[in-house]
Amino acid sequence: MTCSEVEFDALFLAHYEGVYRLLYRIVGAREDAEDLAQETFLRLARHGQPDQEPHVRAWLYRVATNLAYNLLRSEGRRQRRQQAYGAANGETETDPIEIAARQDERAAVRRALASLPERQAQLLLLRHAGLSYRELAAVIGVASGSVGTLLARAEAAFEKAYRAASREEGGRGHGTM
Amino acid sequence: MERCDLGRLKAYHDDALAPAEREAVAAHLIGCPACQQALAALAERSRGVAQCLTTLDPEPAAVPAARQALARFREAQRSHASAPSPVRIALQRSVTMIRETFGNSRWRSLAIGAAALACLVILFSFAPVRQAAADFLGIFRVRKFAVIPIDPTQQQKIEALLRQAEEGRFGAPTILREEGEPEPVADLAAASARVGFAVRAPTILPWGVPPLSLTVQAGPALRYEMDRAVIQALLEATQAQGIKLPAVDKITLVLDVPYSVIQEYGFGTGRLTIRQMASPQVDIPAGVDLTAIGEAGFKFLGIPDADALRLAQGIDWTSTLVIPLPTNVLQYREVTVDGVVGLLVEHRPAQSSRRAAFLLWQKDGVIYSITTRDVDPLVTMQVADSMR
Repeated sequence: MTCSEVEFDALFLAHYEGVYRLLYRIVGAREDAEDLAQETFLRLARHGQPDQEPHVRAWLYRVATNLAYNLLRSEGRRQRRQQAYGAANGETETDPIEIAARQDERAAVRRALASLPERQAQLLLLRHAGLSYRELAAVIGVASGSVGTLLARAEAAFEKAYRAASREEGGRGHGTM
Repeated sequence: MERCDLGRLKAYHDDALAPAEREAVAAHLIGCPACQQALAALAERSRGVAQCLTTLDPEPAAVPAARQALARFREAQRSHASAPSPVRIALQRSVTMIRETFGNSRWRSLAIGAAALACLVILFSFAPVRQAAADFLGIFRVRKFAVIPIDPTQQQKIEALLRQAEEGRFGAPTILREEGEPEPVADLAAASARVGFAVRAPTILPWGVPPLSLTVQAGPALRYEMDRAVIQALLEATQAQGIKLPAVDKITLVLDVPYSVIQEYGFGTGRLTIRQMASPQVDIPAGVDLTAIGEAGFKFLGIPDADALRLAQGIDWTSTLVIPLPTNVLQYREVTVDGVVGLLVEHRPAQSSRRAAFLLWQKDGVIYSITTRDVDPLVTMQVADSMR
């Protein structure tokens, strides 16, 4: 699918906020979320949405989550490398929100998500972002009849991981689960 | 619902079932305490998960307004796509391939600076021609790279000269072939067939992602004819001393930039773009004293006379591309890459983690460049070393 500039602008305005929120939940830093959101729409502008994917929102969210997880992977490598070399190069940016009051809980939630298989974490985040079962099915490539089962499993896995992560926080996690 | 099915209960809870199916589940629930219990547990867990994930939401005030984001998006697109003049395209593309390197405006001006010296080399080559101009015997091909550190003042000087060139002060080239748009190709074999050499690809990619795009792009070809008045203007503009004008009415240069292959990789904010192409070719009229041209170029850049001569004599001007680098903002070093000596240029602003780098090398008649943003230089070198 290719679209005119007017159509593209309409899509951008309709979906930007949702894409940004989704990205922010994953990467947790404004600058990265903005960059990745721009990149997501750049891909839409450049390549268009494939014809076989009729749900533009699902397509955008899939591209966005893939970009975000790619970033997390490369960040993980960077941090591991820094630890290995003991390098403190002053490049690690501190997200001010991370030092706010709910820091512990956020950390536990992030750790729990990170410990899940990527597809399960993606499924939870995309559902939380408001995708329908049909859209989720399109994103992860399954029949929409399977989405309920996959979501139920993912939620159970998250619950377990979150409890473990909260314990690691030294009982500081304030989640209700 | 004939049997208890957690997935279907979950869909029921999320109101994601077709009406008939929904009724069937509701009917089953009435007579199945186990499913009632399971549904309650599912609902409780879903609430908990939603509550947890909500803690990750950005503060409402921190979400950028979509309209402003769109404006920024359009601006970024425009600055990326803004079409420079054919002269600038030809010179930049032909000699440095740096243009692709740098996304932001500061880097772009550096790339222009680099192209400007290339411009000087080519334009200066008119000056000392001593015989008929139609004889194209000398051929310039890029084999090596040399760096000349420059300061901001020198950079401004180069850019001023380039502006004059763009305004047509030194004549305008005849476009023999327009620069093409990047065209997607199916695979490396197809790319190789288009460009006429074996296109290589990295075997190590730390992110394990396929390229965002694989394209080939035709370079421009142009002919530049300069008469005596134009040459005189150029000499005045560069304040070149001691260069005799050729005894001909008109001199012609031909510049031919071949196809290049572009592989673009991305991962979040990181970018890695590999460009490869056979060396562009400049047909230089016979009898040109390239060392004298180089010396005049260095003097134009403000290098003291004695040093300019020494530098110019130390360079093989038929095969070396000279790149002026503002060393106040850039660091560069020679590196061994892909089995040969290459050049690594880094831009690492103190206040930001955003960084860009440019790796350039030549092997078996093909020029390679890898331009990156937010990529560790060590990773870039690994990628380059893994080219097969």
